[in-house]
Amino acid sequence: MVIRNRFDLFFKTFLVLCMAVFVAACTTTYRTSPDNSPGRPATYEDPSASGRVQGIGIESQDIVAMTDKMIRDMLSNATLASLQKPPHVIIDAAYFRNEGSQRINKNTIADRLRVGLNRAASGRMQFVARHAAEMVEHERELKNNGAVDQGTVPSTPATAGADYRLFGNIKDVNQVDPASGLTSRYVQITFEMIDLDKGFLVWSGIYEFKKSAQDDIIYRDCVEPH
Amino acid sequence: MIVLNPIKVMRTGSILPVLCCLAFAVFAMSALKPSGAGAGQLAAGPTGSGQDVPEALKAGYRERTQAGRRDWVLNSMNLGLDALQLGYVETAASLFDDALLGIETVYAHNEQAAKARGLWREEGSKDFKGEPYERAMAYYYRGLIDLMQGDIDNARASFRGGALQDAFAEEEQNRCDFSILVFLQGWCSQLLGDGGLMQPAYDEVGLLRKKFVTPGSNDNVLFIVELGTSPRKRTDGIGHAQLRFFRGRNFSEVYSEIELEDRTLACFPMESVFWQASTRGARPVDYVLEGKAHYREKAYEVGSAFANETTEDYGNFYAGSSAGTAANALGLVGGIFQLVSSKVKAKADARAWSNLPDSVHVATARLPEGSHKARVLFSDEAGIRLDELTKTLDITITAGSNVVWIRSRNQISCEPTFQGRK
Repeated sequence: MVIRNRFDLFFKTFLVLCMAVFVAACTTTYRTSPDNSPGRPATYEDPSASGRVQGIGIESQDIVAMTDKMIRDMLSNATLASLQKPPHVIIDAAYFRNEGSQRINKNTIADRLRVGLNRAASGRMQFVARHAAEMVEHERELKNNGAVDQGTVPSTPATAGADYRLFGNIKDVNQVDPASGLTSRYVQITFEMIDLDKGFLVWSGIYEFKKSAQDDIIYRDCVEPH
Repeated sequence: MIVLNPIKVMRTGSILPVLCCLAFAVFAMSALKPSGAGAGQLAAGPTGSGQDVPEALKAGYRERTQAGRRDWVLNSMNLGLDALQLGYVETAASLFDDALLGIETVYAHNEQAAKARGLWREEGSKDFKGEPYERAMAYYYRGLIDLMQGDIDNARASFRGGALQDAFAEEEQNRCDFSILVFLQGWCSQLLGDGGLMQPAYDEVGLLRKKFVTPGSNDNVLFIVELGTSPRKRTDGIGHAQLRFFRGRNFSEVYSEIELEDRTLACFPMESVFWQASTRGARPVDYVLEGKAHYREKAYEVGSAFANETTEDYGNFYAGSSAGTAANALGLVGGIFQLVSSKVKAKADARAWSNLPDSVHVATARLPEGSHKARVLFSDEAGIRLDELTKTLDITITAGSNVVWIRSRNQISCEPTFQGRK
């Protein structure tokens, strides 16, 4: 009888201990499990591919893909790239409008376009750096004042005027599915090159994409069917 | 929470192991809980090293780092608005960028989000993104900063982004009704000379606010006046599973006007932040929380039935016998059920952006370039002037975008005296 009681006692104690540990494990709050992973060292990622962090807006791969496409397209345009005398072109973000719903530094697009074109054009176009006009004027002023010499290249009466200039805009259309919380964004980016004398559009290009994503249910706001 | 009659338990001779078990359980639970600060340090966010931080914001930056990723967006919002009120516009821009980065993150297949859905964690264990009105206001402030800095394109993009956040969530009849964001899109388009985008925006505001008058085509200065204190969130119902919104406290100003050198402008009440907060529709997560609360309630009922019935009805009668021991074991199981139920976390997430205003008023005017004096006057519901809130301004009007942003009362959340979080 004594042995049986002791066995009961130990068995019950063991059982309750197991349950207590189970309950204790279940009762841990969010504060007990922060993201204590050792982190992730910085690694290079291909800017032309989808990265580890993705959203529904314009991302690096979109900028790379769209500018590459526009460069190829512009270089195959006879008016721009096949003239005997290379045309003077301005490519900057001054007339590039953001009409979308994503904040973006438009220079990321305009600069990549200009740099890519400049390298690929191999002298078939000449690029006027209007975004650096102040810097150029300052240097010319120093030269004209005699504060510095004329350098190695003979000075011209004025800085270069442009024949063509890039303009364009970013637009988007957003949609939300109230039933699922799925959000999608259609983004349309247009580029156009205008003849700065006659006003003709000598080249146009468009880049568009659509992305969608869905948050975890705890972040969804829409009313779901109950 | 375990309901045991100690006298009855003692009669069965099993008090010692039970006490040992309870002590062990308590020890195990306490051993598994690290301090909040330690947890926060481990989960510190991606930026915010605190370098070159204005002295007045250092405490806030420290708190943001310590609180970690879970509250990163919330603390960035609070701190960003602190910075803006204190005149650190660049710092505020960076803080709101942090907040928007968190807001725009898509939480798909996210471990933290999955855990927050579980029984043992509150909704508040998830990374904070805010309710739609809070997210929309983050875009609003980022857009205002862009306007102040003359980046009108991106200002308009911010306001559009904010309107989208509002459109995500509201009840059907209130979809995309954040009129201040629509108005500001129109104002940006006006500054950019985009008549095609300006007029539809103003038309939309006219539908939302019947007494709205379109700004003059030559107006060159926008006054934005924020009144009152932030809407409050509170939990309610079984297991605190319901989220309720209440108007901010300790303010009475509801009207504002701007006294210029030659005229007085009545500010138009463009937006009620409290109304935006309180008219949101039900969220899917509300049903998850409701389910948790239901589970919690049922587990407690079952546990109570085990613990009470077995000890009351059988414990005395069979005391000392093996049947009595079994009855007490069942009572213990019932107690564990109750413990489990007490640990089901059904509480809704009541973390809130605490230094928002109650409402936003606007006025536009044409002023010649140069320096001007102005006074902003506030009055209560009865029209009685609240002189203690009057603000005197020195305005410099330039050829570009002119925004004058005023608050009826500064609310610096990182100051020890700030009452908004209580």
